Amino acid sequence: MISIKNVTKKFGDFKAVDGLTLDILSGEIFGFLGPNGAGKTTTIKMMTGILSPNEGDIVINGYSIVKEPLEAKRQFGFVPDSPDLFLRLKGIEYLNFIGDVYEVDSETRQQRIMELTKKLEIDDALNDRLITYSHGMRQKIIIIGALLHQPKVWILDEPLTGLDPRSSAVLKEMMNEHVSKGNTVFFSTHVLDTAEKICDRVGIINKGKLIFVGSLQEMREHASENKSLERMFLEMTDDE
Amino acid sequence: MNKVFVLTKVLFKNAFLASNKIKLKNVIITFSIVGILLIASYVVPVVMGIGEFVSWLAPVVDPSILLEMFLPSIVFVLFLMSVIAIISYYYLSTDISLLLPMPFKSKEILLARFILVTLSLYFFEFFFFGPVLIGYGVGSGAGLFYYVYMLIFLLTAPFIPISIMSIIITSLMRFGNLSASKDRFTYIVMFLSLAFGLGFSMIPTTIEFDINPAEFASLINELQKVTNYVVPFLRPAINALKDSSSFVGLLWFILYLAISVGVVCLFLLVSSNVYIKGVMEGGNGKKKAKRHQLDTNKSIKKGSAFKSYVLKEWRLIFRTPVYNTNLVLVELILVVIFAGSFIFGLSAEGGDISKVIAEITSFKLSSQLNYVFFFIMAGILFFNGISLVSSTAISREGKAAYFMKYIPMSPIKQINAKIFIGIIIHLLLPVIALFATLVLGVIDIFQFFYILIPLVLLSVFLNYWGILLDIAKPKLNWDNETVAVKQNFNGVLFMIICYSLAIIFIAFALTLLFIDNIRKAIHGFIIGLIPTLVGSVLLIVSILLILNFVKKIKSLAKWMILLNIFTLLIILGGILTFGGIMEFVHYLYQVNAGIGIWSIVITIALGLATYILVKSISLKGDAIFDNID
Ligand SMILES: Nc1ncnc2c1ncn2[C@@H]1O[C@H](COP(=O)(O)OP(=O)(O)OP(=O)(O)O)[C@@H](O)[C@H]1O
Ligand SMILES: [Mg+2]
Repeated sequence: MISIKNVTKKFGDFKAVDGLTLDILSGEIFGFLGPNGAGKTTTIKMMTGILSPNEGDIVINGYSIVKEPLEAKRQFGFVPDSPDLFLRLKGIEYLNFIGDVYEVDSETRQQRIMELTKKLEIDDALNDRLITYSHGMRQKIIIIGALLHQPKVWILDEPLTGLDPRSSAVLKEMMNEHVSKGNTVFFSTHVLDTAEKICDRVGIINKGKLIFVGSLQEMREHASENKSLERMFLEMTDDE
Repeated sequence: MNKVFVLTKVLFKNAFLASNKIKLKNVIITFSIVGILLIASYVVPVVMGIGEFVSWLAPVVDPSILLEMFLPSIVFVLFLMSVIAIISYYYLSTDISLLLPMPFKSKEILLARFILVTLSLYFFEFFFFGPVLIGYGVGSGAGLFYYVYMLIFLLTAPFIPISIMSIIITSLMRFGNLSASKDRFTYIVMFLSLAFGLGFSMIPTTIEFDINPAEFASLINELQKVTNYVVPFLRPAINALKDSSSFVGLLWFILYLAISVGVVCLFLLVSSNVYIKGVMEGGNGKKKAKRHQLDTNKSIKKGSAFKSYVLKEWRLIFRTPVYNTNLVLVELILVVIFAGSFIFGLSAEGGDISKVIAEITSFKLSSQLNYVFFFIMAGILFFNGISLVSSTAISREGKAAYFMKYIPMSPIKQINAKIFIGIIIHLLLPVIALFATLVLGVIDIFQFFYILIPLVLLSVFLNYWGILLDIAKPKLNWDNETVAVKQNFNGVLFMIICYSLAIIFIAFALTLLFIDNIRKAIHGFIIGLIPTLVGSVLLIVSILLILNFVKKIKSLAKWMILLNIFTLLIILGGILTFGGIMEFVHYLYQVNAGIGIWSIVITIALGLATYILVKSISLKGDAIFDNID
């Protein structure tokens, strides 16, 4: 459960996110779409406590990120858009550090790390420094770190960029599995095909304003024609 | 050539001017303060010292032999310094992957890098060696041409060292498979520097003033044989500076310049393809070819979050050569130089180590020597000001700093973990030294704690203080780790504050040392009155202001800077007030406060200031990280 309540973020006079209100329910995969510079990353940064909103509040699983930041932060696992963190640590050192920060006990940690690294096929790189990892491998280690403490809510900023087809399929599968247990996945993406296939609902943001929320079905009705998501996306975000 | 200029400009901006979001005015003010401090503490003494040395030599031998020593030393130091600069600017800058696909010739990229490395060495070179050469000029009454040559020499001196080291390093990277172990290579250079520091510490003692000028001259002659062989290209430059007023000198100088430019051209010719190929091949770290079986039970284990955070900080510092050299190694070098010259100095006098130890142990610190205490505190301040662990702790996170904001760990806890490393690095050696004096019997166990406790508190306070500076305006947008520690305004500011505070402490120490004389000159009542008044006003006003502004001020940077200023004032106010009161006591009862009482007073002042600092940070909560994004 994520509830974004009338959130605004200004950089100087520029409103990067403007009065955004959005509820993401338990048990759904929510796709966050929009052109470059629309405000997706800014929204996600506010959800995760990296930026503080100028107005409004965001509540995650009942905890406000503004008022009870520590509790709220325990609720989600976050994958940022750039995976270059602590490159001089080894993979396993990074995961242990994250595990300690999120207070994951030894047994769960061992079992989670082994399971996830096998699934994403980086188990044999754990003893190498992250600096030797490829972009996709770094992405994977960050994803594993984010899921280590078994958060109910996943918040992912363009998680599929850079992943190979197999890993991308694995991640999508994991997202499906996660929501089937009544949890929540929120992710931003530019890959409309994926969004079309796996999202229960999508939100489209343009110039900081939410211009559409709903299922694909609703979107088609809204567009009153049977168009592809790409067609509708292009029309909605077209300025002229 | 035009392209090289454009490229250099962009790279320069990227490397040196990456913004700290700080106003130009503040930068200018700070640098003028630093300038004045440095000039007062280094430039003037060196110029005068060398000048005196010249006039000491002059009656017996031609003082120009000094140039035989100075120029090779300059070039030698530049050789050492260029290695780390070359590795970091040539190979560790991430912009290389952007440059390679652009239509630049490999020569152009390399030349731009070369210029950048040269620029990066200038500050150190001019600052440390400029005064030496000026001192010689002043002492020997050199003419205008000497200074012109000197300036051009300083400008061109890095050319040959950088060129030669570049040829070596680029070849090693390309053919010696060195790119896989860049880090290790930097460590070797670090230890060379350490060895050099040790050697350096012997110089002042071997050239004791009790040898006569003639002996000194013969020493230089020996040196000259070596330098002629090792750095033959310096001969024309030395001759030119010796003979600056004559036409022959000019010819020598032109020859020197021709050689320098020639070496640079040679380097560009030899290295440009080697460099680009090396970069294109090289990875950024070592990857083990063999598959590693991880012992899961052993390597995956729960630990405390705080400990883990500290460990992470330590690993990042230790594994990043730039951080390691600038944060840890400088202190080591300093201690080596200091301890080295101490031991060499003593053994040069007595010759016998056991005698030296006996001499030290026979000295006993009297608890009435309260000024010694302030000198020790001043020493710690100097020591803290050199290593910028905490004052760059946030900047070092770079573009990944947002990490600190999304993990479920409160800012104060993360700050504590970060300064923990700083405190350990700052205290380790002083505490060992203190312990040694205890074991040697110079101080007793009470004095040990009297000194230890304020020492630890001072370091804790300074590290909080330093990290607050960096939290207020971190420098996060960099591509090269050097920027975070070496071109960070917060570090400079921290250093200035430490040094200024040290100077104040020295002033306290001197006052206590000469207090009897002062009492003879000024009425005891007045010496008591003024510090008490000033101190208590400072104390009360700053506490009141803190209580008032902690909640009110909106701008985070302003809040932190005010907090920092007021906590400093609390400490100074506390010491002044107590000092004043003690004067009254002395006036009335003829007793002075010893080390013990001063220690308690400073402990209270530091404790209060630190408590207020920590409390304010905790009250601010998550907002404390607002300037990090
Ligand atoms: N720190 C900042 N300072 C000033 N402006 C910013 C800052 N961060 C983002 N912006 C601006 O806010 C707007 C939204 O940026 P944001 O990163 O949220 O876009 P996005 O939707 O994630 O785009 P993309 O698809 O390219 O990732 C952009 O116009 C950007 O220039
Ligand atoms: Mg984005």
